[in-house]
Amino acid sequence: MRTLIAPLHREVESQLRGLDRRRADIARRYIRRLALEPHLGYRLARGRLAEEQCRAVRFDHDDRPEEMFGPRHRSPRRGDEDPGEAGPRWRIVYWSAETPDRELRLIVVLAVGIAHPKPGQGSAFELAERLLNTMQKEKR
Amino acid sequence: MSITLIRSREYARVMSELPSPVRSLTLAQIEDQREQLFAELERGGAIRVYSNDGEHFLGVLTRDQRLLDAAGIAQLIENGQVPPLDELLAMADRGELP
Repeated sequence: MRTLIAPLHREVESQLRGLDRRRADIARRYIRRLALEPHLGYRLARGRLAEEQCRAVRFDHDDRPEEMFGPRHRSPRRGDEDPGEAGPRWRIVYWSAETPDRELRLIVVLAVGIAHPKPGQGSAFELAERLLNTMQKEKR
Repeated sequence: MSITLIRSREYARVMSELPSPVRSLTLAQIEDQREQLFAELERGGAIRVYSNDGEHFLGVLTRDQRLLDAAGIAQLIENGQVPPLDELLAMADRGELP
C-alpha cells in the first residue's frame, strides 16, 4: 500500500508559517515521515475527531523526526506540572483513509498547533475539527 | 498465552463477516438512540434506515471501515478539497506532495 500526503490546506500552511523556523521544520519532517509511518500518531480518544478516527503526533523543538525509535530522552511530566507546560506541547492532527482496493492510503493534515493553549486561543484539536468540518461540508 | 472461548453461533457470525446486530429504524429513532447505536455500530452492527413515515428504505448505516474510508476520500475529492487520486499519484511521482 502506498501512502500519499494530500497537499497541505492553506490554513495548515498558515499555521506552519506562524511557527518559528525550527518547529516548522520539525513539523514538516514529521509530516513527511507519515508517508512511511502512517500510524505514527496516537488515536484521538474523544469527540468528533475520535469518531473520524483521527490521530495526532506530539512534537516540540528538541525532537528529531528521523529517529525511528523515539527521542533519546524526554523528561517526564511531574505531578505538579501543568499538562500545558510539560512534555511536547505541539500536535500535528491528521485524518487518514484507505481506498477500497487497499492500494492507496490518503493522509490529510488538519492542524499544526498547541495542544493546550492559553485561554482564548484555539487548540490544535479545535483547529483540526473546524477544518475537517469545512473540508467535508464545503465545496472549494 | 490466553485462550478465549467463543460459542459456535458467535464464531459462525464472526467468520461470516456479516454485521451484527442489525436493526431497522427510522431517522427519528436513530437520533433518539444515537449514543447507544453508535456503540453498536462500532462493534460491527448495522442499521437499515427508513424514512420517518416508514414508507421508504433509505439505505444502511454502518461504520464498516472500508466504507467509511471510501466515502471520506470520495467526499474530499468531490468537494475539491483534495485532487483526484490519479492526479495525486502524478503529483507524488513529480515530488510535489509534502
